[in-house]
Amino acid sequence: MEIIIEGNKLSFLQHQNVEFETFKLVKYGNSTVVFIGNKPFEFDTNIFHELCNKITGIQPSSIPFKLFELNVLKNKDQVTDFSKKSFTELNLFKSLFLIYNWVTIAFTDSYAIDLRSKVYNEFIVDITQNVGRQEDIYFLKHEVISRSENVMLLKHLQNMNLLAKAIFKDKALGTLETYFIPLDKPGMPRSEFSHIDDPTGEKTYSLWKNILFDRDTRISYWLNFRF
Amino acid sequence: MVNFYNETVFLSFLGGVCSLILTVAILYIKQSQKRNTGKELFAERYRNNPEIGDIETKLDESTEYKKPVVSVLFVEWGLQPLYIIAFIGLTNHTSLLEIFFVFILTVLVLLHEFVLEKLYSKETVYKVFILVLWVASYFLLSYEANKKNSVKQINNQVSNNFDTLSTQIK
Repeated sequence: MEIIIEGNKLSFLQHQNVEFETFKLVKYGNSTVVFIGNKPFEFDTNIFHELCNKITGIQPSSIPFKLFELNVLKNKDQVTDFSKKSFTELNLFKSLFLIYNWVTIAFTDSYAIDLRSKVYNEFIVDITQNVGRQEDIYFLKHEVISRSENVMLLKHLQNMNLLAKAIFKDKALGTLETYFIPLDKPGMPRSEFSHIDDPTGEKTYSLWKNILFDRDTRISYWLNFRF
Repeated sequence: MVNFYNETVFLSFLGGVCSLILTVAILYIKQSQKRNTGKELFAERYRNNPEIGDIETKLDESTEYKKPVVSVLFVEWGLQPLYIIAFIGLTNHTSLLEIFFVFILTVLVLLHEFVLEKLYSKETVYKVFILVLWVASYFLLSYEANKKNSVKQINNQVSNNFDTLSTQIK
């Protein structure tokens, strides 16, 4: 199985340009490899699962140290290299593990749980084990993604760090694409929404508002009914 | 000329409006406090990191730290006091029109709580609709109350006249 996450690694507000980074998790049998761009990090199965548990809820800036603790990053230089990554990038890296934890049951027991029910209109909470705010990842509705006029608009939202793309590949299940709202999205002023395909930014902005409305409905439904 | 002033109805409406204002004020203050806490939390989480962007937008786009809007709060909580007033009105002066009105209001409250509140409470048309409902129900209730009172007065007069007549005959 493969899970690929793609997002703009630069902060759009600071740089105004786009450089996509892919985070890929490949799992065949016992070996797990995480690619950041082209750079592979190989994991022992035990360490991988330990990391999956330990990475949830921690501050993005402490991820490099957690990796060092588990001997994934071997020396100090690698740690400093890793900590140079931006907040956005570290959050995307973290969400790879959160998403893996969330969807893994659909891969191992695909008869019981459909992958589609897990990655459309659902949300994952990044549990901190502390009282306080818990961040979340929200997967968009299937109707929003599949509509053809939304393709360019979603791409633009992805450029602005407001959305990220997740792709799931598996021999048995085929390929599945979805978008999600990442853990820490920036507060994007209304003026930034205009681009070449949508000069006034009206369409993109209303799509973004609709997505937020869907998310609020989904999460408040869970808060009220626990389902 | 129809008189639209009735003391009982006016007082119950005054109570309803006051309770609504109190509810909205409390909710507004609570939400504002929550928003301030959210601001502090974000500030702590990002520690001057420019990737946070515009903090006000970020707070508005979160699920829990939205800016409270007074008119939206009024619309969201506006139907229940009205329902209570209309129901109390039934006990004082029942008429067919009022029973019908309360029945419609029951359906409306259910619809409002389950569907309309989420979808339309930000829309101006819906706000105006709730306002019109309040005003219309005030006129309806006071009109019905006055009608009932005038009937009562006539009845009283008739019985008084009858009493005086009967005493005179004696």
